[in-house]
Amino acid sequence: MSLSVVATLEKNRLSSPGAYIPLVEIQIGETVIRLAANNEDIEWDGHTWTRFPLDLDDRMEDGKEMPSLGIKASNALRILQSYIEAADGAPGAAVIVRVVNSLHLDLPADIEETYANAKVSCDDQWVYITLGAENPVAIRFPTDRNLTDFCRFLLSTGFKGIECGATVGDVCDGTLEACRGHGNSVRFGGEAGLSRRGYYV
Amino acid sequence: MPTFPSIQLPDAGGFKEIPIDTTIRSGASAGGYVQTRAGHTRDLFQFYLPWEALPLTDADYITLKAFISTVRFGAVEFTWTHSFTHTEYTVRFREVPEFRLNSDGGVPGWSGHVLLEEV
Repeated sequence: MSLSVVATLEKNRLSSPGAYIPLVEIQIGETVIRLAANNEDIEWDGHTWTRFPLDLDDRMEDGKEMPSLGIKASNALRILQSYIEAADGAPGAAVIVRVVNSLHLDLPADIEETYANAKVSCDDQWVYITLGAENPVAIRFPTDRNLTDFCRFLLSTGFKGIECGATVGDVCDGTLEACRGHGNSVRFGGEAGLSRRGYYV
Repeated sequence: MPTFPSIQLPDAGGFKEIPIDTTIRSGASAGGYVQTRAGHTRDLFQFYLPWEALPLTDADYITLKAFISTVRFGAVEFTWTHSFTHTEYTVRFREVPEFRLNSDGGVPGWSGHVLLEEV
């Protein structure tokens, strides 16, 4: 795993007022639940991440079994349980765990890992979620696909998202012309110099 | 949201603000360095409100008891105005209060305390 320059500088400091905040995104069908393991809401990537009592276990990885991660979320108000029960346990639901630094909420997450819901159980106090490796068939490879005249940022963090960074305009069709119209072509996410024929890896 | 009732001020002598320190510390190491980092983005406090030197009157105690019932002990958050700085906080009961009927110091009334925590 490689860290960004900002994250490396942060982790090497002897003291810092910035907090590393785990963000958990749970995708149950069309519903996306965004939670922050923090004592106040966090604004990141254009969304509000709701403060929520969450405990993340250490990731288990012993080289013999598939890596797994346990998450314990509050069930005092039965909020998560209701979503999970409505989806019949939400088997295989995608759960994205990210870690952001509170001093750099304008940057991408320092860590981002995608898991699939493998097992859920609930009691009066907690929802216990065991996450397993995501379905390898569903993993995009290579991570990025560059097109000649289409911005890949439009499909990842979206128009005016962290990677796009445009500040004007209401909509974008992902073309270089539209990007120029927004005065943001320096950060165009397509590769205009690429040949339109064939695939290159 | 419910509001803490207007009753007699707690004892100035025993009133406490208790910071909840969530700083993450690496601990001592052979290297001699200690790394520290904020654990969360918001600093929270608890507030200890005693009525010991000057116990609550019957009327104030009944008001407080009714309010505790309204917020179902620690279940519901409410608005509380700091007794001395007059800053408004959203809090809940952290400890279910216990009050005693006595006449400590020659003043009859209900003595005890409540512990509030910021939400």
